[in-house]
Amino acid sequence: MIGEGFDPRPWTIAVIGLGVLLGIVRLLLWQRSAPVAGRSTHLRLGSLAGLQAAAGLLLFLSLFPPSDTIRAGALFVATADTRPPADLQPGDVLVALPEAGRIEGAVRVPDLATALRRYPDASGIRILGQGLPPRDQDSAPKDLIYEPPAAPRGLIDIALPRPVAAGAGFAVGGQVGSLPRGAIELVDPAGAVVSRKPVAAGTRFIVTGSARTPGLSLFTLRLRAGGGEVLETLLVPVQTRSDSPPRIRVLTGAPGAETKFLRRWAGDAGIDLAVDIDVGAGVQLGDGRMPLTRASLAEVDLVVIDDRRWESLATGEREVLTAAVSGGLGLLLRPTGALSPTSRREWAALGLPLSGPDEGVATRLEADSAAGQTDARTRVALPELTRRDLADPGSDAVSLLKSPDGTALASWRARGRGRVGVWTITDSYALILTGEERRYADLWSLLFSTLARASDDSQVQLDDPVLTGQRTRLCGIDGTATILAPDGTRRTLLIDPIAGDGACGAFWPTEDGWHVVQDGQGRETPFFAQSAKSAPSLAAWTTRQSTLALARTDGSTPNNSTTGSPGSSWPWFAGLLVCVALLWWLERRRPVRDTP
Amino acid sequence: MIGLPVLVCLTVLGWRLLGLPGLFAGVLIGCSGLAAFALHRIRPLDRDWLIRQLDDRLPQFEDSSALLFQDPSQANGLVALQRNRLLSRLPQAAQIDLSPDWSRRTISVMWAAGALLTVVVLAFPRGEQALRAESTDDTAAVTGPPRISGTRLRITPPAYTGLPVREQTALDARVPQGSRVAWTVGLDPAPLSAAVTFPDSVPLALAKVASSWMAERTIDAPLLYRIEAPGLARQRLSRIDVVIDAPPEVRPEGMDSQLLMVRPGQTRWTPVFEATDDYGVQSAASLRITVTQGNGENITVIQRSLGLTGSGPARERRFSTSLDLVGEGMAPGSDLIVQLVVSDNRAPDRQTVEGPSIILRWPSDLVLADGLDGLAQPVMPAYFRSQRQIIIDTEALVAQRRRLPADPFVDRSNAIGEDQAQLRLRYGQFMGEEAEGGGGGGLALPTNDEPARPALPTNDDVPAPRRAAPVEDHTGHGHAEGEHPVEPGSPEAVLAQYGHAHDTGESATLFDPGTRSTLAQALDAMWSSERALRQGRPEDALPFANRALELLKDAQQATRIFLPRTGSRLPPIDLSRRLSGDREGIVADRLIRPIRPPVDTVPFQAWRALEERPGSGRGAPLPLSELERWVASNRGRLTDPLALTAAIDTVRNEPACLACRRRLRALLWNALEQPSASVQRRQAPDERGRRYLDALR
Repeated sequence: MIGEGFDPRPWTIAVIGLGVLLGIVRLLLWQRSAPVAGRSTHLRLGSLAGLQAAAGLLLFLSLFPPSDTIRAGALFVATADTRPPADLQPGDVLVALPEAGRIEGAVRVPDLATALRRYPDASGIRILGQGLPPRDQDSAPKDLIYEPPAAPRGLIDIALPRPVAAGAGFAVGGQVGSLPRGAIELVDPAGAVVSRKPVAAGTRFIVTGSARTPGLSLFTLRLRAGGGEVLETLLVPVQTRSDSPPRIRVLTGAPGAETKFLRRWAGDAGIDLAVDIDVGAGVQLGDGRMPLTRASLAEVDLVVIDDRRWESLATGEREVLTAAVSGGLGLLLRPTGALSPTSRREWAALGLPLSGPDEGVATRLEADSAAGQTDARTRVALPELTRRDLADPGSDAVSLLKSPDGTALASWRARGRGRVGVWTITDSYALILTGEERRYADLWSLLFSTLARASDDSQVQLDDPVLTGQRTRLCGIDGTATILAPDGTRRTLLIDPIAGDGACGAFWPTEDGWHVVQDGQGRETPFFAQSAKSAPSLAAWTTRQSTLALARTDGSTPNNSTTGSPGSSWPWFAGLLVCVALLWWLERRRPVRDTP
Repeated sequence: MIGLPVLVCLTVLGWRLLGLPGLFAGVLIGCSGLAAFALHRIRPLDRDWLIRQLDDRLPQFEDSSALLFQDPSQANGLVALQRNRLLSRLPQAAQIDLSPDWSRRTISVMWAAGALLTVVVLAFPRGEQALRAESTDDTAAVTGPPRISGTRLRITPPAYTGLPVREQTALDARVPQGSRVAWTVGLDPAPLSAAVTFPDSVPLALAKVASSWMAERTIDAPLLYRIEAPGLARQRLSRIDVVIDAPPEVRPEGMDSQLLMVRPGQTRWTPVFEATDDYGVQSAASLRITVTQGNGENITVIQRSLGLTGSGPARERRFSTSLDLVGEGMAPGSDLIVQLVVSDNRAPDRQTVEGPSIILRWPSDLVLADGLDGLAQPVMPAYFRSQRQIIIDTEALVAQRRRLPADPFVDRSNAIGEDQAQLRLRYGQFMGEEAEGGGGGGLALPTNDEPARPALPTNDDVPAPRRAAPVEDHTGHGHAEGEHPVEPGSPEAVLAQYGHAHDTGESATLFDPGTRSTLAQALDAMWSSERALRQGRPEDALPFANRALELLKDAQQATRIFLPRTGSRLPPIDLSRRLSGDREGIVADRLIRPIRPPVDTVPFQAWRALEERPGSGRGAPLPLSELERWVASNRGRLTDPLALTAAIDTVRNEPACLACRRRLRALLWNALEQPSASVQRRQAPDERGRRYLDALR
């Protein structure tokens, strides 16, 4: 057996060369031993030796014919925005998918699979232009060659807001392609710019707005180039929901301004918040005593507790509270003074190991808020707040809010189904006193939204943004889902059995506007489909990236599209025969010399 | 080729005049005309013409071409011979071109004319078509409901603005306040009556003048209107906005601040003002000149007014005058304040504006004012030492007694005694004692005992720890204890500062008797201390000095007033269960829930109802009337109530108009109040997520 990687050619060359050498040596010996008269002429001798060498060469070539140098054509696939390729060589085939425009000399094919069927012996597939549309991505072979064009100028990534609570702020994030300098604007439904940020190529941006009353609203994201002209616009659908308000209990060891303003805000925002102040010696203030039992905690979505109250809890109560958190309850710890070592230990057991000198230090909130304050408004500096100098060194806690110097002011981590958070600022009410009610509300809304018990009514999840004519995946469907289009037509969604638990289906919206998914439980999830025409970079970037993912990853430049298949040995063999026959004839021929 | 331009012209003309049918008609007429013309042109080209041509051009045919067209059977003899000869020469005939010459000149002329005509037809104003449309309507639909065939607004701004009268066909307008707007409306067919109606005022009847309807009105406030007539389809509300005349603005020119200093040697001053207005500034203005003379309390003010005439264009007038400083009555230390009062030309009542005051100051001391004023800081001298300081100094002196020779020791002791005397005299003033010696007088000089700011009632008077080493401490932290028994600014203080009480210590009525006796004892102790110090016996002085300090503190505390804070009404103490340990019911059961102001739900409902959401969300009734009432009652709060009213009206009249609904919704966004941020519940994880979370711990 010949091992892999064994190359027989050197050995063959050696054997053949030896044979040729032996033949020539024999020829010379033979010549010397012959009588002088019978010796051949030098010409004959030379041609015999030459023919022997030639026969050896031809034998080698018929054994190992050189590679076929004829190019087997590559398949050039023209997609959207393709310029006619300049480096087409004989044998290459240029096919054009429907997305490509008119291209000279291209064969139109309805999809990539058809092209592959029609040209099965193509030596390589090279994708030109913006990339394969989703339709062709599944049928693409693994070794695509794709040199993507330059990134599009406009929006290449966008993160649309999840459903927001009434009055709460939301953020729209994204990224622009190769636009060197420009600005991104968020425009509210009335047409006023609420947030404007400078953008540059390769950097991400976040613009913020704030929702108002429950309902559906359409914001607009506008990308302006450096000169101020609008490059792209994308509609930002914002769904403002009025959920069942969470039930929150605030347990404190002393009355204070913080609880007072918290109550006030909760009253304004329609949150069911009750304050339970235990000043000791059995004296209760606030909205009445809340027994910490398993049953009562099951009725509550979030418990806010300060360190004084925590220390006065009985051991059994703490255990019940911890168990309730594992069952889904949210717990917000609010250190207001120096923490006792016991409390630190217990809070560390809850998952929030706090370390630090635990002193009151001054801090500021970041001036740019998620409150959606208009950037045009003159921004007054936020007041200085006090925070306990405690930090969670563990990396598994999520920072919810950071001061400008990067200290986490609020962090949380999951415990079972619930969440435990810590809020180190002790005088956030100063925001209200200085006229920053919106900031205060946004802050506590963020804290409570993150920590409170998850609501039972879930929604169908969709990819965003939803573009007309493109596949949209819907997950988390329960039962038979129907999609209502803006024109009132209903379509039933088939659930992909492969999706498993995710219960996903797909939909190709054909019409711009609000759609509604109704699933088997009567839940309704609205979503907005829009045309990709006003923001073409997004779709272009998506196809480009998915095609790039399909393309070969070794990064080798596909300059050689010739086939490496061995050539035919028959011509060489024929040559060998001729050569050998000539040799035979020459050796056999007796020169007819002066025959007597 | 000659006829084609005519065809093109006809086509274009037909299209311009009659639209698509005209186009076809033009093509048809042009084609038939062209065919007729072509027939006419080829009629001469018959057989005779051909024979003529052949004979002319081919000498080989020997003028016998006609033979070729004869019946060969009738030919005989020579004729047949000649015919055969011709037939043999026939191939030569193929070489000649019989087609007539292109009439190049005619063709070019026709094309040029045709192109010109086409351009003229295409460029002819559209109005022609409108006119035609009306004329056809006249004939076609006389009996139909009336239609607005044309509108024209003639806006006559008030004369004072100097703006030209303008006319426009659009119904929305932006006019200067007080303009007269005249509507000229064409209605076809003519209705019985017509009016311009306003949603919130009486309608204005349109009068028929010739074939159109006219009305006129002065616009003082922005308004909405529509044209109505019996049978006329309901029009959308149009809007007239008002540009309010802005008051003029006065800007001083060539001055970077409002306070100017007289330069040395300056005798005249020329203030220059520029007054701008949107329509025009009256050229007559007045300059208010105020000159102050004197210094300190003895200041006299002279005011006068000077009429000025402006120069420059009406919208941007310059006012200036030259003032003689001495002539105005200025002297070193006096100020010259000028203020320009201008008015614009608004009719009927002008808007008068007083410009900024410019102060020209003649500094009293020009040398000091020359850049040195920043360096001369008033420094408050410490004339007196406090009682505590005297004690400290005395103790230090006692400690140094061994090291000091006798004479300097006595001198220093005497110096401290002098301080003690001054302090005693200072406090003696409050007791009505006459000033001793020529010093003090009635004027209260500041002492280090005086608190830097009004002593707060909560000042805890802990005596500073006595220091072993004497530290001269006059200006540093001082003694904030405030040994001064009266608060600065109180009647007593004022009396002590500026007057003096002519009564004896016993009968001084400034203080209550207790305080008075304490103060008298303090003065006695001070006197004893002073005596010992002046005799060179500081250790004997110390007990008296300490006693004086204690008494001063007592007197100070005696004059404190404690006031209850307002607003706190403590419940009476229930003595029956005091110290009993019974805490039953000592706090209120429940906190009072904050009362939320009622929220206007109308705009919220309208916002929801205008949602373009398919499914169950759709179909909510749109509360248009409620919304309209809400807009009317919240007019002051809304940014643009007129636009909202117009949008509501449009949606009501055209329920199917999607763009109108969207516009109303966009306007509603600004009307919606921003609610307080509430809480968004997070989504529950699915079954797999729950299992994962449960397994995490």
